[in-house]
Amino acid sequence: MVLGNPENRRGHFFAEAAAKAGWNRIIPVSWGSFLRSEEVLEDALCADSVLRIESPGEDFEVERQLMQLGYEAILSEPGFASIPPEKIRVLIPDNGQILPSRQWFHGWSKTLRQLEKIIHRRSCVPMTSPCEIARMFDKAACHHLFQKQGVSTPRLICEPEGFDSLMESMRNSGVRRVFLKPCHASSASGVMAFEIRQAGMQAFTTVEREGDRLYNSLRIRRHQHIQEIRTIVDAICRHRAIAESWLPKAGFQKGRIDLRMLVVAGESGQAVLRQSSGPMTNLHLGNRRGDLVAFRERLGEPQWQAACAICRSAAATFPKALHAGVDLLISPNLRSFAVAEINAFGDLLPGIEYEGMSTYELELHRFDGWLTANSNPPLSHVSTNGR
Amino acid sequence: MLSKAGYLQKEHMINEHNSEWMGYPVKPFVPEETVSDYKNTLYRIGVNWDDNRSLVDLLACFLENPASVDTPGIILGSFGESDTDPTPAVEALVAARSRLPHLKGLFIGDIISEENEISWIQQTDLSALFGAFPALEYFRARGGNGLVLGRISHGNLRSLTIESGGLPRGVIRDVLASSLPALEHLEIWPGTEDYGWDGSLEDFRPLFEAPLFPNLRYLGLRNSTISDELAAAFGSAAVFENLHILDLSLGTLSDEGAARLLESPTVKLLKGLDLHHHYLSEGMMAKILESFPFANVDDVETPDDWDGESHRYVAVSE
Repeated sequence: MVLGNPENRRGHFFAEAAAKAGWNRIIPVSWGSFLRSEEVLEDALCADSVLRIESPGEDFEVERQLMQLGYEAILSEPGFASIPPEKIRVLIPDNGQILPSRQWFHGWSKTLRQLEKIIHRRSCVPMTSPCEIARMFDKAACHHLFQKQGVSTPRLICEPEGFDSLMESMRNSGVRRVFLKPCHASSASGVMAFEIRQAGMQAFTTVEREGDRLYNSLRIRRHQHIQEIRTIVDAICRHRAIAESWLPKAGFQKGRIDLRMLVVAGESGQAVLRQSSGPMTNLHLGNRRGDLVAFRERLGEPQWQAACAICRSAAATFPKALHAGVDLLISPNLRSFAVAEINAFGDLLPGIEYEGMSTYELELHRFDGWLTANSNPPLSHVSTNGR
Repeated sequence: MLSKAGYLQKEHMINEHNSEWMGYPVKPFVPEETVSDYKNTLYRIGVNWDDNRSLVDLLACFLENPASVDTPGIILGSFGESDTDPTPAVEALVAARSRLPHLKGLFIGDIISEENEISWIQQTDLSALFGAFPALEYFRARGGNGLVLGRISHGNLRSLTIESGGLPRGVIRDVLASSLPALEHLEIWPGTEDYGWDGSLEDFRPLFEAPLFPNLRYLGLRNSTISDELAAAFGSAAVFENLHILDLSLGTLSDEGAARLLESPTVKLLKGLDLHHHYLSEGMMAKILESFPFANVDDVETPDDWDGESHRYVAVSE
């Protein structure tokens, strides 16, 4: 059973992989229909059904529904931006507009909690536990979790209420360069790289402001005037954001790079070298995939293994997730690593193979073994046929 | 490169550390790792991510090993947090001069944009380094803020490179008043007014009027807002008898400057002409390639149009 958005190519890639692997009964359920009526999913599930939870992204209707679901909870958090139901109803898809992500997150967590209950009631088998998905969508929670488990990350500076609170925290920590990230967004949405020096300050961000609305553009802008920076920072903080130390990235073949590694069933999987000219490496920002083979050679095998190990340890903090996409920062001298982010739906890496398999094929390939090792009680009667 | 709208345009940012310099491979200096070969490898000594050690501490660490006496070059990388300048490390280097008898090269500021943008690098007075190291052949510095080289008098210096997003005119004047009889490679990045370039063609006049450096093989006047004027001045100069390569790349060269190069008898004698990152028209590019098939005319830039005026930008300013 796949819970996802029908238009999204993720479902398509997964179905392809499933057919190849001989999983011949894939039942897709759309997020839209699930959110309208939970029975749609619950009735279709039976004991030991495998449930794959896919990304709810790229569907405006679903986004709207999640915003509605999150409204009640956001009301008790007046410091954060919100949209009331009557306005949500008449929202039109506005390309790139950043909707209040804290409210979205409340709706999303509520939905995941419901899924958790259904899974329990039906005794079915999730590929990734909804609880852990929710946690991966909270950057502040991830920071604390990684710190507890000794996984190296950029230093968390603060959860700023706004520009002034950010400046104060930076002064107190003696830090001059930070990345400001909304807790509950992904794909560089709403992210700002910010640095101060004696003579002034500058901020790099895809965020554009039109009145009181925020948009993600596909280009990174540089701002150098305090007023504009203050306004954008205040707006980002209203989504709930964290500020972490901006660690300079390694350079390779004329660009800055970081690494996205998929950890599947606790073992290393596909990897992509992301390369950019500016401070954000996300691929949709006109950035590119770098030459991973050449980079691995430059890095050297012991360091490559160390990079894989830290990604595995980051994924291990989410033991009930079949797969996790880890974004890894590498220092300019290629000696130090830090986990920038962990992604619950980080497996959309078309064309990238590991041992001849796509991300989805690898997940299916390692699923049974992972299940046996992790399930309690063991589900020895579960087979790949007829699911 | 910054347009009025504030969009970060695709630019030649310094994104990578040098993996080799002076013909030697360059590796990062990591105190915890033993240096195997001081003689044939150069080490970049710089403050890393989580390093609590200062640049001067790291330098001391590097020099602690008696084998460091063999090193042919010292590269100082990241000086520390944004506004830190390398003064203590430079002073330490001068103080350690007798322990580095084979030093051929000094590179102060091998810093990539992610660590600190070129126009934000805080340089310092580096003049004492020339007197301290008489065997020096290669000198390279990145960053123009607070940079002082002084009038240099050095019998062995073969290569001098100054990279910046904006260079104070005093540096240029000092260099052109220096006594460097062995100089073969002179490379200056004047940069832009926005980031500290306060000079004009006048400051370069001595270079075009007298054979200041008779052994000069390479002249680079790169990353400049006055590329056209420099091209014109070079075009009519008659003082570059032994020059092989002219490099006007990364700047704002347009058809105007290129036309002067085409007319110039001096340019006809060159073996290399590097004009990459330029604003030449297709027609002019074709003419240049026709006259100088070896010319590099890659990275065609188009001017930004705002306020009814065209604006051209240097490649490396921020």
